[in-house]
Amino acid sequence: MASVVEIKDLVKRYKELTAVDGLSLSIEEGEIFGLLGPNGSGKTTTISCLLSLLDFNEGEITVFGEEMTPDNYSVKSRIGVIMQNVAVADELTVYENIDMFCGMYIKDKATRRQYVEQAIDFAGLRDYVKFRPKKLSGGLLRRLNIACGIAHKPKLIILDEPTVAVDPQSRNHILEGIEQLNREGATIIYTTHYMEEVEQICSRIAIIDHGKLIATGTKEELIAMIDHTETITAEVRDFDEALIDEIKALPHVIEAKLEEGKLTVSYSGGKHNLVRLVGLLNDRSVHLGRVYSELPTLNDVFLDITGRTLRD
Amino acid sequence: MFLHILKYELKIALKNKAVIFWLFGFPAILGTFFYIAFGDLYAEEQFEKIPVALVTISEDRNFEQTLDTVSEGKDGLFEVKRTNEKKALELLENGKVSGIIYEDEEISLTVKSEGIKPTIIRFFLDQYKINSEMISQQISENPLNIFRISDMLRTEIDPLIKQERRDGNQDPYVQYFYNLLAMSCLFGALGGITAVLRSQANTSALGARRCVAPVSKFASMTASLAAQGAISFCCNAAALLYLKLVLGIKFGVPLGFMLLIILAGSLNGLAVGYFIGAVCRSEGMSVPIAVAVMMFFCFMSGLMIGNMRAKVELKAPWFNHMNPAALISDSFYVLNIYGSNARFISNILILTGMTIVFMSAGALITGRKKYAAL
Repeated sequence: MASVVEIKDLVKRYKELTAVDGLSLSIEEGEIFGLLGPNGSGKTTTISCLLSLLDFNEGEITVFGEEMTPDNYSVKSRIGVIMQNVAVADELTVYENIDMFCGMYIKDKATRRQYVEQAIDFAGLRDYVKFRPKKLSGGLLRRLNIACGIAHKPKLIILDEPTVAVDPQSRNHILEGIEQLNREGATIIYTTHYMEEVEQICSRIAIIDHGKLIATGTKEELIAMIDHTETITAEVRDFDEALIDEIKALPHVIEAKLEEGKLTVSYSGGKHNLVRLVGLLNDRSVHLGRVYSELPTLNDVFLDITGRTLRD
Repeated sequence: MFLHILKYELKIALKNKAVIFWLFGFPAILGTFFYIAFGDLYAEEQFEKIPVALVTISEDRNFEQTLDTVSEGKDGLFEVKRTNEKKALELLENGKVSGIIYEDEEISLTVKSEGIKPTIIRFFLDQYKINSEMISQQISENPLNIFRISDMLRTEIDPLIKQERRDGNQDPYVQYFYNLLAMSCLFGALGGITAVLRSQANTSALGARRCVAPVSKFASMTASLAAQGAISFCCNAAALLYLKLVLGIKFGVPLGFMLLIILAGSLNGLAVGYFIGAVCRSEGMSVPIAVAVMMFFCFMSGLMIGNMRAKVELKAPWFNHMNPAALISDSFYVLNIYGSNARFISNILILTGMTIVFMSAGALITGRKKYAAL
């Protein structure tokens, strides 16, 4: 597949703070590429450099095989951007907002009208076309923000935290919409600090922290990078702490700990781990509450590499 | 593309109630208050001479001469009754005079109650005192200052002594309306600020979205400024028409010339706002700074104190040539009193020059295509 975006050794400094530190990425055509990292990790700065809004100190950025510059209108016309902050005019209606931004890309009026109508349907805003942004709920406002960014049918769509402060219904609508845009042929770059969203929709993921790329790959590839494969948590009573050593001696156990009445056991591979653990606890007359097993997440990957969680 | 952005910028500006209020509503309301306050004076045909008693304790020839001059003819300001203090107090008590002027080493005034007539007498005396002090001081510094003073006083005294040179309005209070229109023009700065903030990636999300679109920054910014300039001019013109047609203010200046001055003034306000917005980069900072600067200009041109421009002319004449509010109101004044002349053309050229300078400076600051920080 052709590379749509190439970022090589990108460095962006704000005085003494290095916001992006030697970041290199390659994003292929047709991907939904997730840029995952905690707040302040450099995601938005990277996107701003990519869009040629920000000066950067070192590195190269090419989009659609061309150097990205503020005057490269040919490349810009193929990009759709959905900013983290809602970027619409409060004085205009939903329809006018979408038409205004679409008109900056599409000159032909008939085509534009058609695209605007499609964007309205795509964002589920048909009932609100005459509303002004202030009359819309937070979720609808986010959808309008997206409609303004994608109405011109861009080949590359960049979404910077589009679901911040959005209700679950609108969030699902947005995520489904992104998948639909991808199915229609758009390459997507999706930045977020919500790992669940990345896990749900992204075909490939880059995890960044302190401006550095710390891991990249598919979700499965990233999870395979860490040792543990399963975590079992059990709420326990009458638990003798001496049992911890017995649990650690079970097959495939790499760590076991008791905190506030919760026993957490991490495994590296193996089968029937839950059965074996529950059997041992029953044998030792430990009273059990809820018991559940979790597969590793991207948060575990982040934790494993940085020692912090994504929410820290 | 330019027309597309212009169309939407016009729509946005027209729906911005705050801008419409400051550019049309505020001058219209303030103009109405002025009209109510000066109403009696303004209706020339209803004007009657104000009866005053003059009590001479120590003769001041200059003062008497001035008082006689402004009281001459049927259009004179005062009807002077020279008398002694006892009789003067009697006249005042019986309402036969509106005030007693005591001519002594210090000129002083006694009135029975407040009202528009005592206010006019007090205004006249204050003007006389200020001007005579300034003249004495300036001439003592340099006798050649007499020429500059003479020119300056013409601005203040011409309307008072009602030397009708042409068909203009000789009423001194029309100056307040000139200053009001000047202020209204300068409020166009708000449009300039809006144009910057909406177009820059480092000032608003909307600006960032515009910067990532395949639109030349020049076209985008020019369309925004053109829209804001057009709205500013139209609102100011509407305010002018309201004052002229609804309130019936006689500006003494042909409408075409008034619109020309308003155009030059609106563009100047827009340019100053554009520059301030480009430097400050946030609405929270730009708007208060712009309002403070504009009000300072208006204050120095006499919006709050009638003869302020004349005082500035004596102390720092260069400032009046750099103060857009003074240039705008002086343009109205010059056309009213003298008709189109070199001073009017000079005012318009200076205003236009300042507009070009501020626009260029703003363009230099906002012209960058990439930002160091967002």
